[in-house]
Amino acid sequence: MISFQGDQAETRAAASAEHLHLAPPHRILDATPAFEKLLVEYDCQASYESHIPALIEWMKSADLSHDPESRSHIIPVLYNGEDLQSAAEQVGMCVDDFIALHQAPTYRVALIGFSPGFPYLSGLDSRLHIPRREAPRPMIPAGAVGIGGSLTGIYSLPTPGGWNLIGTTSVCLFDLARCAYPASAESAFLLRAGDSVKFVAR
Amino acid sequence: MGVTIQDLGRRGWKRYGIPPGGAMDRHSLQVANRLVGNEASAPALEWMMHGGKVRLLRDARIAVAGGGSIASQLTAWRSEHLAADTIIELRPSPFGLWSYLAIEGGIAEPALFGSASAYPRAGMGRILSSGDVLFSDSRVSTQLHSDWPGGRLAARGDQRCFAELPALGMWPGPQRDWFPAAAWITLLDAKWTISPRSDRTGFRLAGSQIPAAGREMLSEPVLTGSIQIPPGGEPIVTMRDGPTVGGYPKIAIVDDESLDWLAQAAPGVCFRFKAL
Repeated sequence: MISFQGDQAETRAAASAEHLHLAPPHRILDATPAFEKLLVEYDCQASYESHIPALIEWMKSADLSHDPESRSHIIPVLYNGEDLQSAAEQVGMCVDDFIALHQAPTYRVALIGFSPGFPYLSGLDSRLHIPRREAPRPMIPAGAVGIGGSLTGIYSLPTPGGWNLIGTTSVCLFDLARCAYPASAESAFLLRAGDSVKFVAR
Repeated sequence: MGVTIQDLGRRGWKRYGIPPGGAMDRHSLQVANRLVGNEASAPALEWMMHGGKVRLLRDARIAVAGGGSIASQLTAWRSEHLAADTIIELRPSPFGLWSYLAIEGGIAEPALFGSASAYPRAGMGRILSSGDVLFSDSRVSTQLHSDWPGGRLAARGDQRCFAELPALGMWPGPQRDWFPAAAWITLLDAKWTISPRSDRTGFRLAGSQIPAAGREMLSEPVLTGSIQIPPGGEPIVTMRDGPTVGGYPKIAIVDDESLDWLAQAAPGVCFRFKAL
């Protein structure tokens, strides 16, 4: 696990992952970014320690301050979530202010995980931080927009989940039909670590 | 859970939240494949401690390896040349959980993200049901076998019995230091079993309690085999279809080869860990 520090740490972690996937060094099985960290997995038949110096040299030389593949997205949201009212009450503000604060930032996709295509978005206003629900719901539909702790995100598949639901979007985060030939497999996913997202109320 | 098509899984897609997947017991899948002359990674059927029947629509060389089921018509760990219309019946057995039925040529199944392994919760592949017809893919076979005199038997060292498990190797996890020394000792001393709330995404361990680390963390990527300790104290081992990121402290990581054994821990079968 590599930890990036200093300026633009999250951007560099995401950019490193993309660079590694575009031109994988020998024996790398996968590279997964999350916030300021990057997990690099090696084929363990080879002793991974011997590859680390080369990996570090490569990272020093690559220009990781800018992720050329990073894209910006505008996500329309209908702010009608089941938990919206109680969430606003919990943080002591009216629903309209809550919605305004949720739309205000430009979020960064810190990582994709939990389920295929599910983005964890960093940049949520601290006044909207709400802990996960005590009892998770057995089924949350795809497209549900939620808040869990200091993060906001969008459910990409119907799954159980414990985040506070504040709205829904019709935008599809994961769609296998999008990667039918001749599209690339990556086309199945709308978002990638390093992308930016802005929510807009419908 | 039911019968699905599995191969050795997909690599290189965790950054999109796609778990590696693939056979829960990679060893047994590979043995079954080699017994019928397939590449080790060819798609095969994975049965989870199930009953069920398969009818061959043509002559074929077949092998079953693993645990959890006993097949009629076949001895486990050995391939046989069976005639069309043969019905292979699988009955549950008390030891092991996952059986692999390999057919010469492998099962023809479209690959998604580099693998034919089913991951139905994301719409990739499906749980098979009665009436499904499967085809084998002759391009996958490594050699022609029409003149084999009989069945091939797996090497003794490759045959596994799951009535008892060897000690499972584990490495210290990335948050090992967040836990008191007593927690690590409990992990190594306890006799564990898997709890009923276990599946292809994760095995929950019963038998002892590991005190929570008392610190929270941001979600980070998780290796298959990671042992996470949630606030409840019941350890969860991330298995092949497990989430690619997690926010619970990881005290240890089960070695990949030991994971093949752990996957075959039937309810009630005890096992222990050893530090690597």
